[in-house]
Amino acid sequence: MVSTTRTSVAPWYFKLLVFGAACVPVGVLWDISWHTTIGRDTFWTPAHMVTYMGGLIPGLVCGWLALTTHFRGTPDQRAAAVSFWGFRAPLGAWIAIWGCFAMLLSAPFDDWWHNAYGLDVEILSPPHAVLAVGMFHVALGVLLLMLSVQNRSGNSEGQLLFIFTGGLMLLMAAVFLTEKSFPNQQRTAEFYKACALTYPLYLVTLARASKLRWPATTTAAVYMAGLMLMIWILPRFSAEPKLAPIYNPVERMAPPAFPLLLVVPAFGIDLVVRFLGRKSGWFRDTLLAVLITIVFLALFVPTQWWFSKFMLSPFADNWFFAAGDWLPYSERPGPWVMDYWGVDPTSRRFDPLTWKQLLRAACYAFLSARIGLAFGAWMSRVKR
Amino acid sequence: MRTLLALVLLGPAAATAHIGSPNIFYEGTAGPYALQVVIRPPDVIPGRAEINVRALDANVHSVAVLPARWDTGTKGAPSADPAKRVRGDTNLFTAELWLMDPGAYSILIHADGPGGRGTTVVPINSMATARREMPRHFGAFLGTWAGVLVLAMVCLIGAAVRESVLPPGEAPTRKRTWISVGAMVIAAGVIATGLWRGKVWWNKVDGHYRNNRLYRADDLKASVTTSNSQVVLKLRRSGGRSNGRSLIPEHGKLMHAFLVRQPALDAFGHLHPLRLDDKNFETTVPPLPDGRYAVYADITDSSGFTQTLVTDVQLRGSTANEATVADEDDSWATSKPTDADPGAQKSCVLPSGFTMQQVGIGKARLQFKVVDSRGEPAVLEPYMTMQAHAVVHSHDATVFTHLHPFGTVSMTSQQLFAKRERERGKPFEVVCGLPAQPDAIVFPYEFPKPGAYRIWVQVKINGQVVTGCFDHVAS
Repeated sequence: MVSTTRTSVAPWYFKLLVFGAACVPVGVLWDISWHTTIGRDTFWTPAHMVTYMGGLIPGLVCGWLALTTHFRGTPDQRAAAVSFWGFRAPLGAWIAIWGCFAMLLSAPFDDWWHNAYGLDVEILSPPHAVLAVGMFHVALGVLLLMLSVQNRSGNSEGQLLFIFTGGLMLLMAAVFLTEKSFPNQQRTAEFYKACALTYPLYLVTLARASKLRWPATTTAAVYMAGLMLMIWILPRFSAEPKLAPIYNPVERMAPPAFPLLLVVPAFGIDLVVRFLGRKSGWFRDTLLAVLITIVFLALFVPTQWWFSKFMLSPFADNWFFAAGDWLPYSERPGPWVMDYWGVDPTSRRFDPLTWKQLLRAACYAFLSARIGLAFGAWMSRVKR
Repeated sequence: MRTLLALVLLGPAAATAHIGSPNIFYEGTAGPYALQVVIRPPDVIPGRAEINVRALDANVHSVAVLPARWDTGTKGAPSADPAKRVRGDTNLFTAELWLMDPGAYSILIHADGPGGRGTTVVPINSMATARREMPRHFGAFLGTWAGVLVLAMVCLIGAAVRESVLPPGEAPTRKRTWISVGAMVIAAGVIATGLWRGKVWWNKVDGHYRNNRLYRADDLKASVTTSNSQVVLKLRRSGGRSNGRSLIPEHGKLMHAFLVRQPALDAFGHLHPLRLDDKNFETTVPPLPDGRYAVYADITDSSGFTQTLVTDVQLRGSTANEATVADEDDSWATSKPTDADPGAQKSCVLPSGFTMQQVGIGKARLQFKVVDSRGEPAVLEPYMTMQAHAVVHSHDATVFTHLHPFGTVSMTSQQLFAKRERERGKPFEVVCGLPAQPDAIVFPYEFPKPGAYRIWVQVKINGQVVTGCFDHVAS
């Protein structure tokens, strides 16, 4: 007699892991808003606490998982693990633990950095890069842990959690590119090169690794929804700058800039991968990467080129798009906030998107997509 | 020569409005309350300044502080931070404030008590003066941690390639194991490249910090020429951080230049060179003995930022100069060399039967008095609007400070900040310093480090500027 009772293959701690992973971008976006609105910073700000939770919860859960798998695991559990320095645990758990330790390393490094060079007022700094690497691996570990269970069971249960975590990773990457991605910069070569190097990797990897129908589009939607929620929620809280000089006397928590419309190129990537990318092979994937590069740039560049125009217009000056509301207390308001940057030939930072620069961006996008295809193919086969 | 070399090499790097003495001391009134303020500025920017406020009247209930940058003033300042009362000392309040940008700031201090609210302003230079090396043990700790992480990542990549795609329980083949070794080698190379790029990035940040953010005083060059049989000192300033801002007078002079003979510290001049143009100044040298002199030039720019510029010059033949000088407030003195009497000198005989005595050093104050031949307090006349001026110079030439009875701050900067607030519509008056005491000259100051110091104290009696010279060993 065949049992009709369906048991879940997704362990109970998956939701806890995803919650932990979600704390990372939420904490980081809150922290950026804190720095741009209030300015004064301590180790114990709520935004920092949420970010630490994002490292500690997956780190502790995966640490517990590694210990129980190695010391008290059933033969099946131990068989579904990889060996690392004599211990056995799922690969995802090891990677999340590694990410947690990298995040911990960034704390004393960042503290020393502040003492040596002053409190940093930018996102991109070497200690923050270590933190970002740690965060990335925490989320990647969670992703691989879920993926290994799904791939072993052969069904698509938990796919939404998986793709949600993928969206969180995309959001983290986007946060790291914040200083290059303001609407004002979306006609510069640097913006398109940075995006071409980053986003195809995430979208293509998830498009290939996931069993959902529209994985890249869903991932991009999660990224956009996350950022838009922060744009709508943060300004609901009153706050005032606590550091001088104050050039922009903000009264509410500053939101981030409106997200990129990544659902547009993601939809194109989904179409390509769905119809041409299910089978893999070195030559086939290389051709596919060329096609994805063309599709990505053909959709992404015009979309952002014109959407940024809208974002810099009075039509975007409302609660939904919050154009220009990202301006920190320490910057003087002025027409420059709603102007394009890097497009004035007399400017020291003149960096227009020329055909030559677009070709360079295409090379980056190809590299990113090709690695994404290989990584995605590997992820779709991970069983431990 | 060695001390002079140390001065010239270390001076600009450690330069603030003073040399080797970064803390700010101030005594003044905030409305009806007398306050003593000590500010320890951060040595990196953005960084936190520590502010200690002592209520000298013992009737202050609370103190609040806020920072204001020169260009935005209180309009661009946050709300004031309450200072905490220090446990065990009912009159001492402490707070920390962030200084975010380099430049001239002021710390506004509000004191509340039975007489209502009183406010004073203490100017402060905000600038990065230190470049810290990572302590060796801390570097070893971080390096070990990072090394373990790198090794772990390489091994994890090996484990991922070797086992992660195999069905549970299946052992990796020999071929797969070798592929995983290859993957580990490639991963090690990629990570090493990433670390190298990270180091290049770090070096770039460090270079930018040293070249653009670390404070560099204006460069000062001194030369001596002879004109109409008079030895003339020429000073030329260039470069630095003043951004072309014009200079403003302090006690009516654009530049206060101090000459101190090295290494004996036995000749001292307080001169006020005339401005020829934005960069060049000159003055006739008073009859000082030949030798090598350190030159310290105090200037204040129109933002309220003060600097002490440092150089050195060889003087020869100036003793033949007439005792008439370029500026009526120029003064000079000779004294015993520092190695002639290693003990602390407590008293100094002045012309016309006056004596200057050191009456106490401690509790963030240097105290002196001047008495006549009968032992009665001398009547002091204002010398460049001040009751007295003092210069502190360490024997090893690493510390130089120009002091007034209200402390180490620039009076001009303070008045400038007050004027800007008035222009913004705030009735803001500042009384600089406490009322002068007839029988004592008090300078708020603490020596920045242990060692031997020479102190010159200048007052004006009967229309003549006189200079007392003292030695003190700070423990």
